[in-house]
Amino acid sequence: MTPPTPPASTTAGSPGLAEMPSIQALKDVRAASCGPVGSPTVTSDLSENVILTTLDDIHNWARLSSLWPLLYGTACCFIEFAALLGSRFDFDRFGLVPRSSPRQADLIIVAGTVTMKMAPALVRLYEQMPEPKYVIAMGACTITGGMFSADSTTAVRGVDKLIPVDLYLPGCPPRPEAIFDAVIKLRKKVGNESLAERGNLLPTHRYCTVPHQLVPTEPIVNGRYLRAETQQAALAAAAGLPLGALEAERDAALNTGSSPADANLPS
Amino acid sequence: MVAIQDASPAPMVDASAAATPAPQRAAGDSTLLKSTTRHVRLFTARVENGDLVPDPSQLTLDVDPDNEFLWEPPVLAKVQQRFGELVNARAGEPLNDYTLRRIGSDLEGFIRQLLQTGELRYNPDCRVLNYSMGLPRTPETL
Repeated sequence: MTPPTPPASTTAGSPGLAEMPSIQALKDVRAASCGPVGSPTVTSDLSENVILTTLDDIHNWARLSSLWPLLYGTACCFIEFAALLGSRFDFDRFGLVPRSSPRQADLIIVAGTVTMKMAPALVRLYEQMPEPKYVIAMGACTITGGMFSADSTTAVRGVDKLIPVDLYLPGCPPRPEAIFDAVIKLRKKVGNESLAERGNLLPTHRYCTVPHQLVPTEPIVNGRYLRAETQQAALAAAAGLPLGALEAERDAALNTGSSPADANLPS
Repeated sequence: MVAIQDASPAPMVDASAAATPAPQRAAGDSTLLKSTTRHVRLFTARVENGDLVPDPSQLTLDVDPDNEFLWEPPVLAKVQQRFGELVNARAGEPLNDYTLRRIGSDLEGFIRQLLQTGELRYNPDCRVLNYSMGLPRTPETL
């Protein structure tokens, strides 16, 4: 393609601009070489405006976009999980809304060491969650027992000994970004599920009841200490003090010029 | 879904105690003692219409409710028989969480033995494949 020769009128200027093409000429060059397109329009084609999907996919999409985790934490892993709740990591953008009731949650992130004493409570919480439900085992303690696996008499060696675990999230404790990674992987898992397989989730109970000869005993912890006379006396003594009495006492001590160490005692 | 009917907790102040002599309650009456692990769930309860009703004189075993293993009737009968033996062996010991955990722990060990001798198999259609009692092995890989 030969560039068009500049018009004669533009060559009348200074000698330095003799070879400079005019604006109009540049536009002509572009128009001749670029193949210009019109301004884009919003498509009105039917194929671009109708989304075809399956019921499974749209149902899964709705579920994976609103995974509601149960606020459950027993140890330092929950500190990282709590960081996730805040504005810096902001896990609401994944549709995760923390729930305080297992009845409204469909994800439990088991954060922290689980002991045999905690085990019935954890299993109960898991059973109270509605199906379909998911479990993320967060941190070394919930996966293997972690640093307690060597010699602890009470720590559960892996929470998969108690409840089915969908996802293992290693770390001690894992960073909030790692929890995001786990949640994204869980979303992929949720996206692959099918309504037709829902029947597999029903529990099967195989009950067997036997009488026993064990001796019933009173539980050691029964809350009775709260009603003990010594406890009542201690609470009554504190309740008798008016509000601000301690501060007034300290101010009085300062004004009378006693030593600072004594003055600091009531605080 | 089985609803576990917990008895209501004992009130802090028993108002009726002054009027009528307090009935002699058996210990453990108000609480459901339990030891729950994935394959062995033990309750001081009996089963009525699929519900657990607290009963301090009876122990109920529920085996593997989330179907991690394939349970065939003879194997299940073995576990239940073992459960009866363990309970009888502990006659006279106090009925508390600790004893239930000992029984449950022994049963889990027994289930693991069954798995390792090949009588019990992992269920491939389980909701998640955790292999919580060890990865499946064949004789060649041992």
